[in-house]
Order: sequence, then structure tokens, then C-alpha cells
Amino acid sequence: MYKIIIILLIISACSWNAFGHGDLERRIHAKTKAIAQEPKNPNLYVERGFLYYQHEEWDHALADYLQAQELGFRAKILYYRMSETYLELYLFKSGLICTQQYLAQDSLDVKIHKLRGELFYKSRAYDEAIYSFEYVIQHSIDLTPENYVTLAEVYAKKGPSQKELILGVIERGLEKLGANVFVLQEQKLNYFKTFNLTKQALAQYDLIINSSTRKEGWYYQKATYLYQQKKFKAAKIHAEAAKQAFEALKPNKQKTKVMIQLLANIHTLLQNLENQ
Amino acid sequence: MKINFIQFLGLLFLSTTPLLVLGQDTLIQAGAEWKYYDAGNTPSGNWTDVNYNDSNWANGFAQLGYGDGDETTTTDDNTRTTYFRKSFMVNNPAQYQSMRLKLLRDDGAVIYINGTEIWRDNMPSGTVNYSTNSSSAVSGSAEDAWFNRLITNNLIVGMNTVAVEVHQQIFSIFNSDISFDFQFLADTIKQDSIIRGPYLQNGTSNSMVVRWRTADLSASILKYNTDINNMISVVQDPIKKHNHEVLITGLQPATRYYYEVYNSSDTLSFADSSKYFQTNPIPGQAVPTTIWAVGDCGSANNNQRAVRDAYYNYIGPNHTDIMLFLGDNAYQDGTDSEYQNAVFKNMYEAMLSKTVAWSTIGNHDAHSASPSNQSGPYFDIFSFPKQGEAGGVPSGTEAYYSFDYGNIHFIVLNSESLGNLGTGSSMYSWCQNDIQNTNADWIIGIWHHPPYTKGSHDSDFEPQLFQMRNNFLPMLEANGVDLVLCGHSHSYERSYFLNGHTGLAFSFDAAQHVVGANGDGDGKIGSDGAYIKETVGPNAGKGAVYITAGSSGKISGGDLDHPAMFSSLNELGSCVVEVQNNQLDMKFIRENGQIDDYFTIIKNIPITSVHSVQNDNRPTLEVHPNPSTHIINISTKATLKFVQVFDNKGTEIKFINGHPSSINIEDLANGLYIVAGTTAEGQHLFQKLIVGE
Repeated sequence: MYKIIIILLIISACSWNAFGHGDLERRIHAKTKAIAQEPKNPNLYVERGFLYYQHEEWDHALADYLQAQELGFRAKILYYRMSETYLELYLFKSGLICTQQYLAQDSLDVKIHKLRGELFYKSRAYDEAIYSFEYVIQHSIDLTPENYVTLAEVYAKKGPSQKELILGVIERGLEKLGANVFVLQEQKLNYFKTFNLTKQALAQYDLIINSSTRKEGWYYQKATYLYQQKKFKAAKIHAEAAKQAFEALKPNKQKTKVMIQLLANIHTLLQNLENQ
Repeated sequence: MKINFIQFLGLLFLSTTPLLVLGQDTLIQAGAEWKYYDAGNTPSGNWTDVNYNDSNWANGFAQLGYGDGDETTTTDDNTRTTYFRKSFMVNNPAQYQSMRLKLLRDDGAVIYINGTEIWRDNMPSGTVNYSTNSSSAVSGSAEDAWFNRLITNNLIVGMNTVAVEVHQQIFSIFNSDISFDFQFLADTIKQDSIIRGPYLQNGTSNSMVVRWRTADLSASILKYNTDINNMISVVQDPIKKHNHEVLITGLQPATRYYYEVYNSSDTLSFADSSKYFQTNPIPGQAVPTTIWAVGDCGSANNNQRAVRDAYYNYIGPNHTDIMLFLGDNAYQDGTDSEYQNAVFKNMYEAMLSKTVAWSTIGNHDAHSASPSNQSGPYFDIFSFPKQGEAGGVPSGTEAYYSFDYGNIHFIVLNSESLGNLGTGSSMYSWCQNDIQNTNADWIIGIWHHPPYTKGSHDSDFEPQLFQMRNNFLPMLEANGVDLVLCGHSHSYERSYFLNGHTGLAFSFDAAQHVVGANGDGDGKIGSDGAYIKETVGPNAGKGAVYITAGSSGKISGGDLDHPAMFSSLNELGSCVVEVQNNQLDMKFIRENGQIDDYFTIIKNIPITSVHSVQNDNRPTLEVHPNPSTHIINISTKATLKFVQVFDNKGTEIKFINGHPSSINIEDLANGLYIVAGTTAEGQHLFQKLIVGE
């Protein structure tokens, strides 16, 4: 009974989502009053639609955008707003149609190409998504690790035959954003493991270990990988290295939940290795 | 630079047109705090003199007076003349070319600077005393009018004083009010082309970034040295630009450097005792550290200035090591012109020229800036470490990053990008690796959307708040985070000493989610006691305080009843965090200078440098896992002859000959035990063991 009450409370709480954003709520209210005074002003609908979008009321947002369109609003920003709203509503085809209307006015903006990439990706149109994301990477001034991670993910969706392209994307990211950007180095390691490139994966582990201030976690991960590869001697060396690195930590670092678990894992691994 | 030239010209025109005249300092701002004397007579002695002792005078924020109902501070309504004094420091008066006074008075006033009469307004000529009437009565809208006067520079190095006497026209029921407010603006010589800054970014123990903006295209030249009279070191970039950014490298740790900014022909910003940057201490070194955090500050009004001044009064001449912006730094949309007014112009410029500022992006900043491609004013204005250059793991983005200051590690997250708040996101992966890569004694997390709030936002319903709480908090807590600072709700809410509360507000259970014997107390030394972060026992590594501090520019109310919060206040203010060795003190400083909340966290460990830890080769005995109920693993560098387990009365429970790698403790009842190992050399090694969940 208690659980049912909890669930009902949670559902009830979720249904109140529309009332949770104090500032947005006030701004929507103010915009609604403005619309009541000027019901034929399309700008007001675009503005309120975006407030609804930020409020995550996608249906209301879209209704306002369509009303603005009905009133003759044709600026590209409207098509961008509609596209991102369609994305949230999982109406990918409609979203893509809007991006085309945007592109008819401005074909160079990387923002719309990124949005098209997301719409294509969600639609499982991977080649088109790749084209869009590549466009973003080639034409953006400032890029983030996420740009490369996402593009590599799309290539990966096409299957392991894309191995060279995937790793090439990550390499391009490291060249552009910096050789030590962690997320990209980690992605590189994961793809090496996915593609069973054991030698490269082990070298990648070493690269991450060498660039880390604290090494206990990465020594353990490498030891585990070596154990999985049945390289027991090397695994033991790295498990011992993990233990030593752990023991060199300050007491307060040793006693965090994660580190307590890590030490237990190291001991378990060492015991497993003793049994080999 | 992330904006092109055309965009820049547009921004410049829209945002800074009034500033193109000259650079300007605000020596006294409207709404400032004044000393006043309203005892119904003339103050004794030379009350206009800079050295006059006004310690017996009352304090109050402008507008001062009585009778209108719009006063911030109400003075005695039986006085015909009220006297006001305000002192302020000027380090380099020669930099000021012209000065403008702005006066709101009802009815008449005489203004003195450092004892010399400067301006008489609506007052008769000749000697004035307490009984002197103003020339005419003021009524209606004229009571709120500001009057301007350009004056010549008669400031002196050091302390200066403005003294004002405000007179009534007649003292009767027909004119029974007095009003007073004042501004003192100074135009700076040769600073006419600097329209923003200089301001400090991305400081480390051996480098500093200095940024500024000029109205004209000019070269970037910065001279600096530890000796203010001998600026021998120079960094320059001959390429002419508006937005200047110079990186200074090869600096000494924990050292103060004075600096001057030039273009190819002129000094744009003179060195003075208040224009310096200070490099970080050696990484890992525990040094007393002062951090000032402002959240949702960007209202660009007197509320924001009052919060600022309350902190300035608190810190006085002492140095602030770090300034933190908790997001929504410039309302409504984080545009460049809004940043100019809410951050750089008549706001934080004095602090920003000598203290490195760091920021997390707020939802209003994101109206005009995009974390996904790092474009927009927010990303143009700030320079944050992407390559781990300030400590921490390279993130490759300015949207989230980390930095070290001494023995404190700061993790700055982007809670705005909803799609990137999952446990599979790049930010999560980076953050997890970053927090597990630091040896710092203290870990402070910063992001905009608070995990717990019932202010103008509600953490039960908004997705960013929900996701940060559900996804990031467990990971941060499992890795020992100590303090989290957020904004978003325009209130001050401060939690108990928490661990593991990821549910909705109603599910908060102090018995389950509060850490330690006094974790549900006020955290105050001398009251319920400081929060203690333990390194042994079941609470080892657990406990953090979460603060929503979004009232540095405005307050917006709300229910303010989140059960995880010890303190929930609908008050303007900012947070000061002071860290010294194993103690962290936080104070919430109201806009009126009052400290409405404070607490202390103490780490139950000796704080030592990384170096000394690495050189400590004495053998220890470690037991893992601890607590445990089944098997414990024994680890030590020493070779053990035998191991004993004692209960809490000192009775031997187990004896194991030799050097066991593990011991089965399934037969032990829950409780505290001591594991003792004895080496062949007779050395005894001990470790506490807790049997239980």
C-alpha cells in the first residue's frame, strides 16, 4: 500500500511539471497577457512558444509556432524553433522539413546542420546524419568533445566495418581539441576494446595511466582487461600497482565509497589471479 | 575570439555607447551606506574633516531621511538639519581627470570633500549652521530629482571623506521631510579607450590571463612586476583588436604582481596598489583561502550593489582569492550589453581586476550562448581551462572544467544542457575521472541548477535539477565531495550534512540521509557543533553541504520549505567560503552586512602535503572492506608474525598465526573491534574494524 501511495505521489508530482519553473511561469503569463492585447502579433507567439519550449511543454510550444506561421511569420528562427520542438516530440520527419525551410534562407549556419544531424540520427538515417555532423565539425569555430563523440557514435551504428572512420573521428578530435582531452582518450580506448585491438588498447591504457595524477583506478582497469585477455602475469603486476597506488593515497581519499569498493575489487582480482 | 568584427561593432554600439566618453570609476554609488548625525544640533568639532572621529554616528543605507516613506534608512524626524559622512580609499587620485557629483536632496545641501566646501545647492550664501533654512522648499517630483555638478579633483592618496549637511526650508508640518542620496563618479585620464576590465581569468600557480576591451582597435601591451615602481616585465601582442587577452607565464607561485595596461602609445590602466594579480599557491599546499560566491547576481541594480558592498565591507582590505559566479550573471538573456551593466560597469570591476573569477553557465546566460558549440557572449567573455592547465583533467570544453587552488579542487559543471546530464554523457565521464584524479583535501562542486530547492524553482519538478540530483550527486558523494554551490532559485537555502538523498523532497529522512552525530544540527561551532567529515568508521568520506545561493541580485520567494535544508531565507546576499587546513567555514552575508547563516565542516584528518604523504614509509595495517560482515582482507607492507582480533573490551577473539591475506569474521557480532598485527621485529600495527553493514 505504501509503495502505491509513493507511486501515486510521484505521478502526481510529475503532472505538476508545468508549475515548477517559477520564473518561466511568470514570463509565460506575461506573454499571454500581451497576446490577449495583440492577438495578431506573430512575434508574441514565437516568444511565448520558446518560453513553453523551455518549460518543456512541447505541444504548447508547437501550437504557438504554428500560430505565428499562420499569421505570416517566416523568419528562419521560427523554423529552427519548430525543428527543435519536433525533435522533442519525436516527429523527426516534420522537423527535417522545417530545417529545409531554414536552409532555404540560410544554408551555412552550423546550428541548423547540427539539429539536422540529430534529427537524422534519431531517424536512423545514419549517412545523412554523418553528412550533417561532418559539416558542423568542418565549419565550426569552437568545437567540443561531444561533437566528435556523437559523430563516432553514428559511424559505429553502421557497424564494425566503419572502424577506421570511427577511430579517425576520435583522432581528429584529439588533434583539434588537445591530445589529453579525457573523454576522447577514453572513447579511443573503448573503441580499441570494442574492435579487439588488444595491443592498441593496452597502449592506450598506458597513455591514460601516464597522464593521470592518481593511477589506482586505471591500473585496476588495465589489470582487469589483462585478466579478461588471460594475460595473468601482467594482470597481477598491474593489480599490485593498483594496490600500491591506493596505499599511497591520503587517508581521506582511501575512505571514499568508491575507493573502498576499488580496494575490495583489487583484492578480489588478486585472489582470482592467485587461483590461476 | 568567437565573435566576428561586424558582430563586435554591433555589440559595441548597442552596449557601450555611453561609456565611449571616458573610463569611469564609481567612488560612491547611489544607495551606499553612510554615517549620519541627527541629534538635533550641530556635531561638535570639525565634522567635515577627513580625520574627524564619527564612530559615534549612526549607520544607514541611502536613501536616508524621513517623511516620504521611500527611505531605506529613516533618520530622526525632529531635526532641521541632518549631517552625513562617508569615507573611501583612493590609491591613485592622479588617474582622475574630472569628477561628477550627483545629489538627491530635500531641501538643500552643502557638500564638502576632505573638509573643503565643494558645492552648495538650494542653500543661501554665507555661514550655515544647524538652524539655517534652505533657500526654498522642495516638493512633488523634485524631491526625487538628481542634481549634477562637475568638480575639480581634490582627492588625496589614501582615505578621503565626503561630508554633507542637508537642511530643511522650514521646520513645520507643511514641510516635514528630508531626503538624501549621493553619487560620486570619477572619469579616468587616458582610460578613455578601455571600456571593459582589465579582468583576471584562468589563474594558476605560474600563469595568469588578463583581459580587457578597448573602444578603439589597439595593440595589447601589459607590463607587470612584483615591484609597483618597476614594471620591467612585458607581454605584448602587436595585432590591433578590441578584445584583448594576454597570457602571462613563468610566474612565481603565491606571489602578488602589479600590472599596467598599454596600447602602443598610451597607458590605459595605471598600476596602483589595488590593481594586481596574485598567483595560486603551489598545488596541494594548504593555505588560508577566501572564496566569494555570487549566484543569479545579474540584475544590474542597487540590490546587486548592496550585496556586493556588504561583502566588500566584510572583506575590507584583505584579498579575495577566488570569485565564483554561480550562473545567471546578467539578466535577462546574458547578452554582452547585459554583462557590461551587471558585471563590468559600476559593479564588480574592482574585484575582477585583482581576483580571478570563474563561472558556471546559468539558464539565462544560455539564452544567448550555446554550450554545445561554445558560442555567444558567455563563452566570449570568460576564459576557462580546457586542457587541465589550472589543475584537473582536461575537459576539452569551457562548458565544464575543473581547477585547483592550493588544497581545494573545484569542479564546475554545466547543468543547463539537459541532454548531457545522463550517466552516459561525456560530462559525467569526465567528471568521474576528474574527481578520482585529485589529491586535494577539499572538493567543491559548482553548477547552476540546485539539487535541492523549494525557492523560486522546485527541485522536485524541473528536469535539470532532478537529473543533477539523481545522476551526479551519487557519483560526487561516493568520491568525497564536500560542498556544492548552486544558484537558480533566488533565495538562500543551505542543507544539513547530507549523503544519499536523491529522491523527492518528501522522501527526505534525516535518519537515513544525514551524516554523523550532529549532521542534523546547525553546523555551528559552539552550538550543535561543526559537521565532521570522518576518515574511519561507517561515515568515512561521507557528508556534504548543498547551498542554493541565488539571491545576489534579487529575491523571488517560494515555499522555502525543503526538508533537507537547515536554513531557507528569502533574503539578498552572497556566500563567503573560508578554508584553512582541515576546516571550511561558510557565511551567508546579507545585503545589509548581517551574517544570517554560517556553518563549519571539519575534516577529521591531519592535512599534509602530497609530498610528505609520499615520503611516509612507516608500515600501516589496512583492513578491507571496513565495515564488513564476511571476509576482511589484510594488507600491509610489513611481514606479520601473527594477527589478533580484539573486541571493544580488549578481549582477544581471534588469533591467526603467520601473515594471513584475509580473515573470516562471519562469526563476529556487530560492533567495533581492533585488528592487531605483530611483525617479526615485534612492531605492533593496529586498525579499527567495524563489523556490520
